[in-house]
Amino acid sequence: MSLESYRCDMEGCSRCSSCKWIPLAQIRSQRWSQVCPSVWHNDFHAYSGSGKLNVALSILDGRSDFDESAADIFYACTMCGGCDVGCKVYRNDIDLTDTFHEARARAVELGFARLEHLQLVENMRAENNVFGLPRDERADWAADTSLLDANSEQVDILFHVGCRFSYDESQRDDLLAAVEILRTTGKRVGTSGTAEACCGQRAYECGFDSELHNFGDDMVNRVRTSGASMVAVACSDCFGAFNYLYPRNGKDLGVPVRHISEIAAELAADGSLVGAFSTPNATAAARPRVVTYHDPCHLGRRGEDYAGEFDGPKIDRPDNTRRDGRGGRYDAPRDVLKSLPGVTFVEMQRVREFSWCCGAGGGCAEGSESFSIAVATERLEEALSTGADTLATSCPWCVTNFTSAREQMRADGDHREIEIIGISELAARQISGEVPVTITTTATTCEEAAT
Amino acid sequence: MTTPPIPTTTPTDVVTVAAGVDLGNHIRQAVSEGYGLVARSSTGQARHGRGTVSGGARLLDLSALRRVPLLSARERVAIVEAGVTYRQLQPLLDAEGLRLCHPLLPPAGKSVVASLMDREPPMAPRHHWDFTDPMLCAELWFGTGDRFRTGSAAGPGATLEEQWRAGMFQKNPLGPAQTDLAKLAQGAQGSLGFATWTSVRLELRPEIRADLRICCEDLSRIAGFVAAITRRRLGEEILIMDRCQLTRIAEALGVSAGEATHRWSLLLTVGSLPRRPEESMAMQLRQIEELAAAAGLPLEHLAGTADQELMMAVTSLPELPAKIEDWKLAATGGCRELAFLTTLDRALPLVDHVRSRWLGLGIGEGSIGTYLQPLNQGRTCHVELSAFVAPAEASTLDDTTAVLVEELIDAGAFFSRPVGAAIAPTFARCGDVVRTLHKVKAVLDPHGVLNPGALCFDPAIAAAAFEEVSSS
Amino acid sequence: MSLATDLIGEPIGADALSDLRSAVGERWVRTDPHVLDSYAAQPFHKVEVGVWIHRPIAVVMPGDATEVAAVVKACNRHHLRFKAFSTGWGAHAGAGFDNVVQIDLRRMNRILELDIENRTIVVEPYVTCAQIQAEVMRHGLNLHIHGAGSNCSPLANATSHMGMGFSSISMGYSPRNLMGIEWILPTGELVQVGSFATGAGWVSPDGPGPSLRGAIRGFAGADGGIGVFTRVGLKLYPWSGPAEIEVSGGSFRGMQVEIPPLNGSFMCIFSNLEDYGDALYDIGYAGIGYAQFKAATGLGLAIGEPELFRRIRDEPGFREQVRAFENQFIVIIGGHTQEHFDYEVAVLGDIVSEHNGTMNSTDGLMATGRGGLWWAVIRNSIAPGMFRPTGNFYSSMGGDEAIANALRQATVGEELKEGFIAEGSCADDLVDNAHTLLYENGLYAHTEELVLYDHRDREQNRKLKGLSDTVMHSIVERTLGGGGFSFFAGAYAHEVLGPHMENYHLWQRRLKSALDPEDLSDSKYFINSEGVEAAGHG
Ligand SMILES: Cc1cc2nc3c(=O)[nH]c(=O)nc-3n(C[C@H](O)[C@H](O)[C@H](O)COP(=O)(O)OP(=O)(O)OC[C@H]3O[C@@H](n4cnc5c(N)ncnc54)[C@H](O)[C@@H]3O)c2cc1C
Ligand code: SF4
Ligand code: SF4
Repeated sequence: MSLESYRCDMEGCSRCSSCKWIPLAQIRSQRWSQVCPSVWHNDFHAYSGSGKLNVALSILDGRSDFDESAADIFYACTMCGGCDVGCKVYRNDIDLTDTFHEARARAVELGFARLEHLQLVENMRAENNVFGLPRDERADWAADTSLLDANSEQVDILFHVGCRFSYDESQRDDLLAAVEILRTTGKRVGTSGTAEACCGQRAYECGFDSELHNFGDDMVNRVRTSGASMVAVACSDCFGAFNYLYPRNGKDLGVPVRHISEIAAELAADGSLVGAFSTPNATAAARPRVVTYHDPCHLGRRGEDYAGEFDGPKIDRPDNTRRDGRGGRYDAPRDVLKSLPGVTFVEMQRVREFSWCCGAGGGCAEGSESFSIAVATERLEEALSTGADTLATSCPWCVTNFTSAREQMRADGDHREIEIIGISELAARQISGEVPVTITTTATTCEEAAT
Repeated sequence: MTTPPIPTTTPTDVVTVAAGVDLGNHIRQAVSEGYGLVARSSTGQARHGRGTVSGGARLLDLSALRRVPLLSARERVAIVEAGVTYRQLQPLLDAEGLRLCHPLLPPAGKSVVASLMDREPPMAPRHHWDFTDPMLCAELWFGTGDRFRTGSAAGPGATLEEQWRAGMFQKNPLGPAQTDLAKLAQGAQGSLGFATWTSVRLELRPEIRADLRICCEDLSRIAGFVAAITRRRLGEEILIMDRCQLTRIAEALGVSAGEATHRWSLLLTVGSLPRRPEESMAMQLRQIEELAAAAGLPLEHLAGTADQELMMAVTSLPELPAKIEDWKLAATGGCRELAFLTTLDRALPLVDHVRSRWLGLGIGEGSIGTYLQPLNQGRTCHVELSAFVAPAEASTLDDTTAVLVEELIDAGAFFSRPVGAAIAPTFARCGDVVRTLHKVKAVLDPHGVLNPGALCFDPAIAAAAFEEVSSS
Repeated sequence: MSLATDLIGEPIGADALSDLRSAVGERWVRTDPHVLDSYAAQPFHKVEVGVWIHRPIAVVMPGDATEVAAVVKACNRHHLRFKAFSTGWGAHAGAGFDNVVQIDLRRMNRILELDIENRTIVVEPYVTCAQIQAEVMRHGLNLHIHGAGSNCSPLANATSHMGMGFSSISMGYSPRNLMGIEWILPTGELVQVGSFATGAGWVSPDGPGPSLRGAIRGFAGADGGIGVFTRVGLKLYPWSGPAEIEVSGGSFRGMQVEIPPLNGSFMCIFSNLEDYGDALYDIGYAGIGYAQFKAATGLGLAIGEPELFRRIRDEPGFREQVRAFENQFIVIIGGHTQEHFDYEVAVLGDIVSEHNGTMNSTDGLMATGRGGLWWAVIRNSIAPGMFRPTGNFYSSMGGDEAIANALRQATVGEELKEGFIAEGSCADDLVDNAHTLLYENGLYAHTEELVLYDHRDREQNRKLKGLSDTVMHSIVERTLGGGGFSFFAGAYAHEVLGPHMENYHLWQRRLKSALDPEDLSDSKYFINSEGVEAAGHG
């Protein structure tokens, strides 16, 4: 694909602004009605989904150049896909984020890539992870887990850990809880250890397609070698990459991809999730919590199953080949949360396919930190408005960004309390009566480790 | 400064206009000879401050324009010429099963068009969708002598007959196009255009009617109840009066004042809807009863009681006793009124303020009447205080009105249709409006012949407004 | 017109730029071409070919009325045209000329006052209908949402554009719901209209004395040609449903909601136009209905089920079967009590059967699920779907008058459209596309003849101008209720229509010149001041 191939989408935009709002039928208040972090933060129309189409068309029509200022607009975007969902309530012939992706790829081609993104890609090339941390430390976390080595042993489930979970000590409890959940399936679970590499998604979102291809090929090989009948992930970015981006880019893993929340939901449904975390010490009653849930974009609207391309004019494209977000994984994490002892579950207003983004995606956590934190803060505000004391989510990137935002709020003198926690860890805590799963409790984030 | 010229010659004669089409010539003549014109459509003595000549000007008497060119039950619309009075129209409407929502007890000679052009408050908030209602389109004459038909009466279709044939019945009140000259002329007291006819929206006359009353000391409870029923568009006429107002009306009409022992009376008529009349009546009455009960208010059904006569008189267009043109002037001949808008829940302090000022001036308790008229489906309230005083006393009031108006504005009253002594203090608060209206006047009446000096076109008011901007 | 690179004027001068920056602050002025072009891509509501309209010379985002006034004054100083919008959907919201400063009112997004007892609300320009509705439903209130949908600004619609919508039967026409206006004149002076004028603290629209509402708009609005509106009071209406509606299954197609007690939605189908028309009259007399409209069969299908629509369109037998349903409308009933609801449903049933019609649930229509269409109408979340079938549409006629005239417009509209489809000026939409609704208990009615087209199909786009002209001339020649949407064709339309409508264009132009002597409030969709006679108007 190329930017040119989306001309019809660009020209088709009616400027209805549905890409700025959660779907009209879903709006429940003025305060929580916006969906697009980019235009929310930057205000001028160019930053909305529609506006970015306009900018791209302006360039294609020779009315303006693809320069630094155009690149700024394309990069001031979390690639969250909220706009796509709003638009596709009504349109079958416009693909926003795909267009933005091509614009970013063009930016890279023309030398307007962000320095931080170049660094990220550099890290990936050098160490197979986005942080540039030593590749041979990738599996250190698993030292005591006795997971199988999928490079040498046949497994049922290949657990792809992902960069953040592999290196981020602060999220170790969540990761280890995920492992417990996987074990509870009774299947043979293994990882690729230090051979595991980044899924390539974060580079791809920044406009670096070749990383996705390279890492994709590698992943396909590792899955084959492992003999797995399923790839499991606990990171939503990886989920979105494997479930949508890989097939769209011709990378066939050959087996289904499941997110830990889906696996946990199944266990919860048959009553066996409890078994994952009941320990002899679990005497304390579960801590009562009011929990709300944040839908990570890449498990939700950006992670739905790839349904192929429609071969014909897009205006005639049927619903089922569009990426409209409705096929994301929304119920599973909620089912898990609702099954947990002590949990009172409350919803925010922007949920499921029209969820507000955590701000970490699209290279923003790396390249536009203050924007990224502002977006996360906005989500914390929404979570707080529900009366929740716990914000659960199912992506380590979201957890990281929310945690940074909460720290920023504290630094700014706002001490409202809300615990930010991964869904697996929350399950462990509620079921076990708060017995930590972790082996190490000293939390070092990968950003700290990388510096 | 864009202010209209004030004509220099000052005739004081009266010319009867025989046909609407003559108006253009009258206006052009005034322009060429440099005198002002005032139009009057009603007959009889005008209430203070209304329809009077502000400067020297020829009075164009439109009261002879008494045709009703259109009356359609299917379309629920009529066209009435300027001289048609409420009482003249009533039997024509009765015959068709229709009614026109009208203000409280208009004087015998009150012209429908004059009343509408003055945005007088009609009594049935249910049918008062917008403040221009029940007026729809108008035939206007501007200070250039040009005729201009507003709303959908503008066309296409060069004549009314041509429009009727095409299924157009002068029903769309807006425009034409992207301005609304009728809205500018309405409320302008003839200073931005004279109307020779207007079309009016009509309502189907209910088959069954119920007369209800609530008497209560506490206006805020009545306000809550009125908010509840108007929210549901229940009730036809809905109006609130104090004891004095009711007594004065009863005296003037020669009917019994009834047993109102409380300060406030809410008069409420309920009409059946055209379909399933009995069922609709029961359905509405049940809601009203429930809402009254919820508010703890005693709802009286007046059917068959002595008080029903007064109720009927107040809410309809009763025959006025011989020699009485206007109930307000019946007793003392010198009534003064102060009328403004507010919301019903904000009305009481404003009413009490006026009363205390007037009482302080020696006006007797029994001479101050209060009338509250919910408007605009209950969103706004017309407040009208009347001092039923002899002409000599009335002038004492006039001297203090300006200050009182200022106090009321400070307290949130809005003088949307200011007259007399209320004009200057009201416009003093809104130089922005004054300056803008002068720009409008320069278009619609570039020679300043239409009611010279009326409203904010008074040179002193204009000077203040333009001074304000040049000094800022 | 137009090469893609046309319609780009000179860059803004340094002095003007610095003046604008001091008016709103540097952050809120943009002049980079990409940002400017994002305001110049407006393919809707324009008869010219292509996507682009004039590129504004700068975009400014004032935060309050004082800043708007400062921007307008800066424009006056530098003799720059300006054009404000609220949500900005359509070419009429963008620059009509070169060198226009676009005023994007997005930052003015506050709900300023909500008076529950008296059912009014005061809002700024960038508050949308959906937001207000969501906020007031929890107080048992609702607002009139114009047909463009709840993504739009009710301030923009009521002050500056049209105003019909599904709820017109019970909530009227937007400008008639105005309750006070804050207005920055084209010269930069701030004027408070209605009870705002004397700072009453509650809202009422007219006076003191004449109503300046008449100077800002008529049946149609000035579309940015008469200054900027920064605050309005609006009426609210009762709502008998719950504070929030639980939506599942989708946000339009497949959308399901539980229709709450006291609410219902019915499609009434008649066998001929006469019965259909008489039923409309009777609904008006009866005083029933919370919302009402005729959903054009072809368009409704095309929005909800494009694949099915294409099949129907292309199969003659199927096509005729569907067209047999064209004399239909939808009525939504909202009762205050169960008895009231039952009464209105019974009366509707009486009327439908008296006119030999049938009455059905609307569940599933336009591919919605159970209750979905009801909510789509109440929220008015349908309108952007107008672009689904072909990418664009154009509206014509819409001069609102008696139901009788609305029916004539529909008939003539169909007749004309048969021809347009045959010559390829627009898409085949089964022809039945007149959208009709009642105002204020049927006192008068609206019809608009919609045509579907794709502006990306340049050939079809080129023919649009001819189509629009033909309709305009038919309005005059066949006495079709007034100019309606033709007014937005600007200067040319006024020259065609004005002479048949009391020469309104001359008065409109005089008022424009009086209020905007320099012609700076972008008048492309209003009227320009050229050709005004000398004072006294000859
Ligand atoms: C699918 C669709 C259906 C439609 N159906 C209807 C319908 O049924 N009824 C109807 O009434 N309209 C209808 N419209 C027209 C619609 O009202 C306009 O397109 C409108 O522009 C969209 O509203 P908006 O809130 O985006 O206003 P904007 O685009 O922001 O503004 C509308 C106009 O008002 C001007 N304006 C806006 N705000 C201000 C301000 N504060 N001061 C001065 N000028 C201002 C703008 O310059 C513009 O000309 C429809 C449009 C669409 C796309
Ligand atoms: S929702 Fe789609 S059509 Fe509407 S403005 Fe956004 S991109 Fe354009
Ligand atoms: S992807 Fe997200 S941030 Fe980017 S334009 Fe779309 S909604 Fe806005």
